[in-house]
Amino acid sequence: MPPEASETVISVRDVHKSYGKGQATTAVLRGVSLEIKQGEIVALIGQSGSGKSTLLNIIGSLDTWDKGSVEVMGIDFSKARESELAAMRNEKVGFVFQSFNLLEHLTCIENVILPASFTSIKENDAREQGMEALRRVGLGELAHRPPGELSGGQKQRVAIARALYNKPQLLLCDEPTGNLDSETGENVIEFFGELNREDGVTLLIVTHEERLSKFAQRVVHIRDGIIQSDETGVSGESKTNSDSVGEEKVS
Amino acid sequence: MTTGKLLKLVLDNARRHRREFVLSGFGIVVGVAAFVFFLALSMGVRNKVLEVFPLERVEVIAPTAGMAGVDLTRRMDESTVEQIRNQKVVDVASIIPRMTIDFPVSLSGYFEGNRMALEFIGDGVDPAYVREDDIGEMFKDWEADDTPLLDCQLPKFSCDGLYYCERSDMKCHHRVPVVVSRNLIEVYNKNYAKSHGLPVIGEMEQFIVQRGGLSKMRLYFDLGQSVVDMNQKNLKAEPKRVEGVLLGISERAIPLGATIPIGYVQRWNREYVGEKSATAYSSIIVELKRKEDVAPFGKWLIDVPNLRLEDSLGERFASIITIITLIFIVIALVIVTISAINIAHSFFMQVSERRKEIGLLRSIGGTQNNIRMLFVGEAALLGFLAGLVGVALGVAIAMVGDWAFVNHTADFAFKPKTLFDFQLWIPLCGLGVAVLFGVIGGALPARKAAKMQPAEALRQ
Repeated sequence: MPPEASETVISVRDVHKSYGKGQATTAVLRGVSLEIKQGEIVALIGQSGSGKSTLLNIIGSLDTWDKGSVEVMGIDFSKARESELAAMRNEKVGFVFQSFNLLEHLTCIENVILPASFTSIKENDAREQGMEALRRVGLGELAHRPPGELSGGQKQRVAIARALYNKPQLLLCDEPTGNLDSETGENVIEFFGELNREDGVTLLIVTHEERLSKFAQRVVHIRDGIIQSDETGVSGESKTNSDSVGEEKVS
Repeated sequence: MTTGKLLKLVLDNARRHRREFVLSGFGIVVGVAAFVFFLALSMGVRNKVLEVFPLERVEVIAPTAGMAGVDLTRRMDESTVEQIRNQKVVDVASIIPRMTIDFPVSLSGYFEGNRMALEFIGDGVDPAYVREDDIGEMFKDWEADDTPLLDCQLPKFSCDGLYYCERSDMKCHHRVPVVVSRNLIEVYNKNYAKSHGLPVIGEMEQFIVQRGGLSKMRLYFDLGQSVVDMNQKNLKAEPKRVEGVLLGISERAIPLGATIPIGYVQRWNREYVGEKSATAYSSIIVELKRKEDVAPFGKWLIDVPNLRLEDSLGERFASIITIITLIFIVIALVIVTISAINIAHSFFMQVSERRKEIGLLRSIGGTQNNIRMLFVGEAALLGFLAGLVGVALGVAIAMVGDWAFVNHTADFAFKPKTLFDFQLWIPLCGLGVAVLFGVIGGALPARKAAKMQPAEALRQ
């Protein structure tokens, strides 16, 4: 079921999660609710240990939670089979990590088409599709180089090309510019904006960086596992898309 | 995930982790080499043994029984043969009754200029049983019918060709045809000839030709006379000398002794002991169509005619070899088991080292099963490659062993040209074991990799 405009893409309700057992239990998320609609750019901001990455991972079906409900693109995680979630990650969600997570023994194009390993697409078709993604991030000519020969910014663009390989509707980014200098970081941010405008890709970005939060249409602050604020329309260029599901105050 | 794509990922990873592969595959190489080596060795030795003592050829004998000094041993005669022929339990290829000579006979002859005399050990069999080409029509009972015999040529008491003059009736009788087994020749060649400075018999035919043909292959049977006990009593006839001719080698001859047509034994037994002795068989050789039939046939023998099978040497050797083989296979399996543990250890380390990769693969759509198959696949590939090297190593060691065995050990009876029998299933089995133990070693680490929480795996 492809999400239409202004349809809810992510719906998180009263999610709790803690690590450890007994006395050593640490609550990471303490009742988080968040709803994100198609086409939004949302920055998830908080200090380290605030639970922002955990929330992102739960939304990406990479982590478990203890209580509450999570629904992404019409898939109720608590009812979905493991293969359904894997298929969702393969086809509908792209991940961008701070540390790129490229496999050094493969070339750039091979890294980009790695998601095709889990589908039945033919190698040549996959390569064609992968080249398209690489050209989109402006690295078509570096396709056959190993990532080790690339700069940090180029590596992150290869990683983005991999995330875009299956043309996802949702991009989940964990500190995407954290390892980049400010100029390359800027380029990446610009590229995210382009993706959002041209393809209507929904972006959820975990960051602590000012410029990224400025770029987002909506900024969600999280602290000690609780959403502190959910502000819409900070960025001048995007139109207001208010939604107050956080249980804390909304300003 | 298609098999092809899985294989591609597996091969990529194998290339990437060559060093770990070589190190953790080493045990499998050694274990499989040992496995293949010992299996081929035991198959080779076993085949050789069964060639000498075929399993499907069994000997039926009557168990000795007695009560209050009366011999109650069941007699075997023509009716026993009929009974075996008509049973429906197993398929029988042939039934050959054997009759031993029931009174002492000594055998003498000249061999390489030496007179040799020994107690005759031998059996009479149906001539139809012995049908080697080079022996042809000569192995038969020449006096089975009443064809009149020629008189001896006086004054030299001579006869033509392979006939000799029998003094008791002054007639020309054909010499009694004798065949021996290859086993006897082997034992003579390897154990006797060398120590006594006598020539080794190579090709029997050639040997006979070199010595001047069959007419020189002359033997003397002294019926009613013993080399051991000179005073023979209770015999119904006077001792006499009969001449024989050694025709050659027969696979069907009794292993250690001489074999002659049964008709002679029947007549001699009748003449020297009595009618009863001329109709009783000492044993009956039964060739079964399948060696699996030995057991049911043995059971039938006990249940119905109250006879039994002579313990087969082949069977006894084969079971000893089987036990030894099993011991070696257990040793080989212990080696591969240890190496599976080694593989598990190495793969656990790999799973830890490749945590982020595992997390990444999960994040781009890999299922738990995909991850498991990836590691199991790598372990299987490791097992397969190590298995190939192991099989090659096993074959190489066997070749060296064979060379040393053939060139550097003393000759002995039935010494084979090779000790090994590499039937196709042995290397295949070796490969199978290698892959299996690779997979067993990789299973737990693969499970750990699969169960890893992707978020956890991706954490810095």
